[in-house]
Amino acid sequence: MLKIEALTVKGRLVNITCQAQAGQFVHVMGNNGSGKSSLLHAAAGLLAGQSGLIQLLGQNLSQFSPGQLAKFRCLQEQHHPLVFGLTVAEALDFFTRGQRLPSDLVNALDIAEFLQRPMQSLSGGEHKRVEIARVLLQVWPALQAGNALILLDEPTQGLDFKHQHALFRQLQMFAEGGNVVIVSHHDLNLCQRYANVVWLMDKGRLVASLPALDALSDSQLSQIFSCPIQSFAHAHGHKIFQTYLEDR
Amino acid sequence: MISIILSLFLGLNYSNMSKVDGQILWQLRLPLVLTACCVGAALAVSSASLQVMLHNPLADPGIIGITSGASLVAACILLLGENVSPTSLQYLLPLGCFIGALISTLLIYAVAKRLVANHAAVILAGIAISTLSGALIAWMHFFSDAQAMRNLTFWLMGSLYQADWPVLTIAMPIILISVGYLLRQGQAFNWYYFGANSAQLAGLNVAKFRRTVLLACALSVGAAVSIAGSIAFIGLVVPHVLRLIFGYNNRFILPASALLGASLLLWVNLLSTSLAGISLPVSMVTATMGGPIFLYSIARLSRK
Repeated sequence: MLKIEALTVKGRLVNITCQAQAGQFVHVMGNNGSGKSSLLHAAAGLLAGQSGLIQLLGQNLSQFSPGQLAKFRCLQEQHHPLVFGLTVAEALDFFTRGQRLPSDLVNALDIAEFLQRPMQSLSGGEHKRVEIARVLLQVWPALQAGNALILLDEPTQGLDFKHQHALFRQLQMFAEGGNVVIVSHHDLNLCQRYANVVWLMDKGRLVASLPALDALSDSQLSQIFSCPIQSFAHAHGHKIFQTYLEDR
Repeated sequence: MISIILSLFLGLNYSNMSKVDGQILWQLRLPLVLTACCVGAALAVSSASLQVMLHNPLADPGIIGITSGASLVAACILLLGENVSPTSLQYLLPLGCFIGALISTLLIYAVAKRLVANHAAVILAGIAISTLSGALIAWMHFFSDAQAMRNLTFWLMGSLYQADWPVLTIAMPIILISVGYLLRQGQAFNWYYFGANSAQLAGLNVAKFRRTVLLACALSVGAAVSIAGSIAFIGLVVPHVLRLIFGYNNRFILPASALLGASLLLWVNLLSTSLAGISLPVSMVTATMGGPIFLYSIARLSRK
């Protein structure tokens, strides 16, 4: 579905080569400024001045019109200032393309109770859930058919634990339905629990593409994230990661 | 419809119309009604569009300096072009107003692009453009003769009585085409609420959209200024009130703005003429109405 070869964007990304197949739930991890958002923006077709190749469904990204891309590719961005007092229902309605608001999506993101509230009155986590619903609505028919590319840039930012897991379970289901889901975030344990491909970024480079985080040793992870990381075996069989501050 | 019928026929014996009544209807009332409808619709629709494009609910061609840019060029033409023939003037004035409006639109857009989410800065930049235009017009006043000064003063205060058929035949098609284009962009403007990136992700060719919308706004405001002078606050008040009552769907808000803008300007003119008995400069009335609404809007925004 997505193939990137020797992608370089001046000052942001350096010689990235990777691919994501249908059905994969890819987690992009790395420190702040490591190039995660730039990679997602490039894959969505929003970055100019790049060299290298990006292909979607075997076709060069530049050959798609904005309208064609919009039908199967979506991107949730990190920062979204909204200066008008739209209600949640209005904001979502603009992206339904004449369809009814799917109750599956409303329930999965738990947004039914504040559909009539103005977007500006929502908390950070509530706003984030609505934003995710909005971008998913844009590609909803493709998502149902299992041929969508979902790009989410730090979707767990501001979400409580319950909604983080609810969101990732839903995204996992989308991936199992044949879609490609690529998310960036900073939670090693969510990554270990849900990812089936992990892309590790550092200073604009893709330093590793792994089936899971535990393919790397604690010292390798500590080096990539510039922070001491220790892993423990959990009773359920998978690893739990813990970061700690060294005493000065 | 009521305002159109009243504006056309009030005081005329429409069942048994004399030749003079016919002349009044054809040479005075009909141009006046068409001017009010075109100018009201142009200002309200371009304002509703610019508010979304600049991410600023307070954007109005008057407040952000677009009207002043158009007025400055118009003032140059009116004061410096004493020897220009009336026929040339009817083409020169809309063209000059469009150029003035386009330059100030591009200036304000460049400022808004750099200062996303900083409403005050966009308004302040607009005030700076208006002040500069005002200062340049004042310099021209200083060096102009008494008659030219009177013409310019009346024109700058905004009047629906300046337009005649030759002027309207140039300005009206420009307004109809540019407003018609903006009215068809409701869905694109709905996406644009969430920023240029979101609109592009949703399928909009953003670069082309920006160019054509700014051009359409500059054309419609420029043409409106060329036939009626500077009319304040219609653009701010109309979309603001509609969004407050009916929500934010631009597929409804844009055509509703055109209708309300047109009828509001007709009613303002009708009432000021009927109550005062003389034709008051229409901008004087709209500014008196719009000023308090603008203050209320600022207070409401700052509470959020």
